[in-house]
Amino acid sequence: MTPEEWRRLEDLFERAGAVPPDARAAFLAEACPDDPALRSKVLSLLSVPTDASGALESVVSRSVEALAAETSSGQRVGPWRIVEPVGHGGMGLVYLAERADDEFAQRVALKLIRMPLATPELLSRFRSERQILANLNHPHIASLLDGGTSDGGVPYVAMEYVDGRALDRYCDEERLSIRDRLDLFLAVCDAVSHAHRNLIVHRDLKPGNILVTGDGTPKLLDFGIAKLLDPGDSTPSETQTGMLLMTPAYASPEQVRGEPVTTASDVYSLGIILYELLTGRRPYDVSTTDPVEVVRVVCDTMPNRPSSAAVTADAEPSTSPEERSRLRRTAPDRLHKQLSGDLDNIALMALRKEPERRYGSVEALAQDVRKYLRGLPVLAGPDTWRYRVSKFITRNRAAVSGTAAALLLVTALVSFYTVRLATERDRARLEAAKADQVASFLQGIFEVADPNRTQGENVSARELLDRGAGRIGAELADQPEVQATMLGVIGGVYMSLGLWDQALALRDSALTMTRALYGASSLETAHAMNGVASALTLSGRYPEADTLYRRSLDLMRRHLGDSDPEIAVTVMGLADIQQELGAFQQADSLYTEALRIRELHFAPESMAIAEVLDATAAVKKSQGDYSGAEALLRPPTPRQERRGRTAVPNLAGHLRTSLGRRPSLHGHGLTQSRHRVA
Amino acid sequence: MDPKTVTGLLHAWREGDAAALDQLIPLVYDDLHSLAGRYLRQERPDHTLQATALINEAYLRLADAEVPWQDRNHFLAIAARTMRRILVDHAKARRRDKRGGGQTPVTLEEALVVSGGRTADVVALDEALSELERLDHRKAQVIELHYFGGLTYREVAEVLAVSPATVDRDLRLAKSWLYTELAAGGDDT
Repeated sequence: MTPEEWRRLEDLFERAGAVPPDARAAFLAEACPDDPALRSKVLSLLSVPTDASGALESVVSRSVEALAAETSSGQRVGPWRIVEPVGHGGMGLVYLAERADDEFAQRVALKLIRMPLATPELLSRFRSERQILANLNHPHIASLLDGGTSDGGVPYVAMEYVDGRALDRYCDEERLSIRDRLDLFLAVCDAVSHAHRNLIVHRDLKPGNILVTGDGTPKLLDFGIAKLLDPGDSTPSETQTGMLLMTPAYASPEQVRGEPVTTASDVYSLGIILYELLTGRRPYDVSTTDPVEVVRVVCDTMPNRPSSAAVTADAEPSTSPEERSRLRRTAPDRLHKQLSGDLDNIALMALRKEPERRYGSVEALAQDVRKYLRGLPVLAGPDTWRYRVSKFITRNRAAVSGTAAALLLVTALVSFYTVRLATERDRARLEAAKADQVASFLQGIFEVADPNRTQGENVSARELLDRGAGRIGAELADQPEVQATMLGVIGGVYMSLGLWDQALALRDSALTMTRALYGASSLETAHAMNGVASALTLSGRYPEADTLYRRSLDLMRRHLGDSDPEIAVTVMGLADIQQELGAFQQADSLYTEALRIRELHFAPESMAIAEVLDATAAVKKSQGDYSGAEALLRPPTPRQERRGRTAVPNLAGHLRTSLGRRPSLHGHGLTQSRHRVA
Repeated sequence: MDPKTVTGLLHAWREGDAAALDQLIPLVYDDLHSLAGRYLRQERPDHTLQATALINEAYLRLADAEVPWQDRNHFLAIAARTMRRILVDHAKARRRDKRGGGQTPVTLEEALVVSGGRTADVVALDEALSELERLDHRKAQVIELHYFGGLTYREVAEVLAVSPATVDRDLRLAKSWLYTELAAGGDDT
C-alpha cells in the first residue's frame, strides 16, 4: 500500500464509519465504484470487534510479563529468593526459588498468582483454603510448603519443587509399555483419590501437572490450586477466572459449561489422560479458543474407541500408528488388540458426558484398571446403543416431537430385540460382536434423522424405517449374519406399525438368509420361522403360519428340549392360530402347555404368565365356558396391575370381542407382537 | 544514577540539542529493564496498565519533581518508544534461544485462556506498527504512546500537539488496521 492509497482508505473509513452499518456497503459502492478490493478492506476494518484494543493491550502486557519473569533472578518474594523462571501456567508465573535466609537449602516451586481483582475477601479465602491444602500429605502429591503475599501484594504459594518430566513425555521417552503406563496411571489415581477423600478436587488434571521424577515416581502438582483461585459465588466477571483456570483439552463437559465441578470432573480428566497414555492421541481436538466452540466440542464429540484411535493415522506425520506403537513397545495390530474391549470400555466410561454415568469415583476407575491388569472382568461395559438412541431423541426433542410416539415405539421394539441379543451374547462371544454391529447399524439409521444432517427436514418414523430397510442390503452385504438379524429387527418394527406386507417381505428374506447361513435345521432358522409365522398370523394367513410354527416347534424341541421359554413363545403362536381357526380344543391344550413352561421360568405375577392366562380365558370363553374363563381371570387382578394397563386382561372386552377378527395394532395385537417378535 | 542528568537531558533536548536524546535513551532503557524485574512483586489489578506502571515508576526515579510538563511529555514519549524496543529485543532474543535449541523453561502454555481469540506476539505487533509508521507516521505514534507508553488520550494529544478528538479518530483506524494485520499474520501461539 502506498501512503496515497492509505489516505484514500482513511477517508473512506471515516465517511463509511459515519453511516449505519447496514448502509455501508451501498455507500461504498457509490463512493468508490472503481476499487472493490479497497471497499472490502474498509468494510473489514469497520467490522473489527470492539475488543481489538484489548487484544493489542494483551500483546504488550504479556510481553512485559515475560520480560519481568526473565529478569527476575534474585528478587525476593516473602522468605524466598527467585532463582529462575520455570514456566507459565494459567494462574501466573512459576519460578524455581530458594530460601532467602539460606538457613537451609530448600528449593521450591514458587507460584506468583495474578488475580484480576485481589480483594481482601478473596485473599482471606485464599489463606484459609491454602491451609487445607497444606494438610494434604501423600507421596504422589507435591506438597504445599508456604504461601502469602509479596511486599507488592501479589499472592504466592511455594510448593515442593519436583524435578521431573510431564507424564506423557516421560511415558514416551522411556517407551513404557501399556502395562507400565497403567501402573503409573494407578499411582496417579491413588493420589487423586486421597485428595478426594479429603474433599479436595484438583480441577485441572493434565499430563503437564503430573511430573514423573527420575526414579519413576509421579507427583501431582497444583492440587486444589484451581479451587483456591476460583472466587466461586461471586460476580459474573469473576466467574471468568474459573474459565481461565482450566485446560479445555482436559476439562469435563460440566466444567466448560461453567457448572459445579465435583470429583466426577477429575474422573473425566483422568479419562482423557488415560486415553492419551494408551493411544498417544486426545479423544477430541480442542484447539479452538472460541468459548462457544469449546463447549460444543467438549460436550458433543463422542470419542472414538482407544483401540481404533491408536492405530488410525492422522494428519500429523510425527505420530503415525507405527510410531505410537513403537513408543509402547509393541506393533499396531498388537496395540489394537490389547486396547480392544476392556481398556476401550474403561476409558470411555470415564469419559461419559454425564457425570452420573461415569465411574462413581476415582477409586472405582482405578479398581477397574486393576481388574484388567489381573485379568478379571471389569465393571465398564460398552455404552448401550439404546442409551445412544434415547440420547438422540433427547438431543433433538423439538424435531422429533412430531414423530416421537412412533420413534419411541421403534425404540421399545428394537430394545426388546437387543435384550435378546444381549442374552445370546452370554452364550457366545461371536454374538457380542454381532449385537454391537446391529447396534451401530441401528444408530446409523437414527442418525439419518438427525436434524443437523437433514437440515431440519422432519423425518417420519416410516421414512426412517424405509431408509433403514433400504440400507440393509447395501451396507451389510459383507456381514450376512448381521444382515439377517437386521432384516428380522426392521421387520418387527414394521409389524408393530401394522405394516404387515413390508414386515412379511423382510422376514421372508431373513428366513431365507438364515437358512443359508446356519442350515435348515438350525435353531436360528427356527427363530426366523417364528418371525415369518407371526407376520403371517397378523396378515390373516393362518394355514401358512400354522405350518411354519409347527416346523419351528419341532426344530426347537430338538435343540432346546421341552421346557425352554423359547418353546413357550412358539407354542403360544401356534395356539393363537388354533384359536383364530376355531380349533379351541387344540388351542386350549397348547395354552396349557405354554403355561406349564412359563411357570417354570416366571413368577406368578409376571407378564409372561398373565399373557397366557389371558389367552386361555379367551379360549374358554369362546367355548362357552364363562365360569372357567372367569376363574382364570378373577384372582389375578392384583397380580397384573403392576405392569400397567395395556396388559391387564379385560374380561368385559373379551366377552364382547367376536372371534376371527384380525388383531388390531392398539389392542391385543400389540401385546402379541411385543412378546412374540422373533 | 543522577536524576538531574535526566532532567537536564530532557531540557537540553527540548532546547534543540539532538545529542541529548542519544544519551537519554540508554538511561531510560536500563532503568525500565531493571524495573521490569522487580515488577513481578507488584500487585497490578489491571493487567493493561503494566507498561504504564513501569514507565511511571521509571519517570519518578529518573526525573526531578519540578520537571516542566512539556519535558514530562517528552520523557513519556521516549519511554514509550524505549519500552517497545525493550520488549521487541527481548522477544527476539527469546526466539533465538528457542531456535538455537537453548535451554527453554518448561512451558505450561496449554493452560491458556478460553476467551480472547487468537493472539500475536510483540514482534509481530512491532512489524505491523513499522509498516503503519511508513503509511501514517502520526497514527503509529498514537499507538506507541497509548499501548507501549500507557498514555491516556489527553496525554497523547498533548505530546503530539493535536486535539483529543484527533487522537480518538486516529486510534480507531490504527487499531482496527493493526488488528486485521495481526489476525492475518497467522501467529496464534
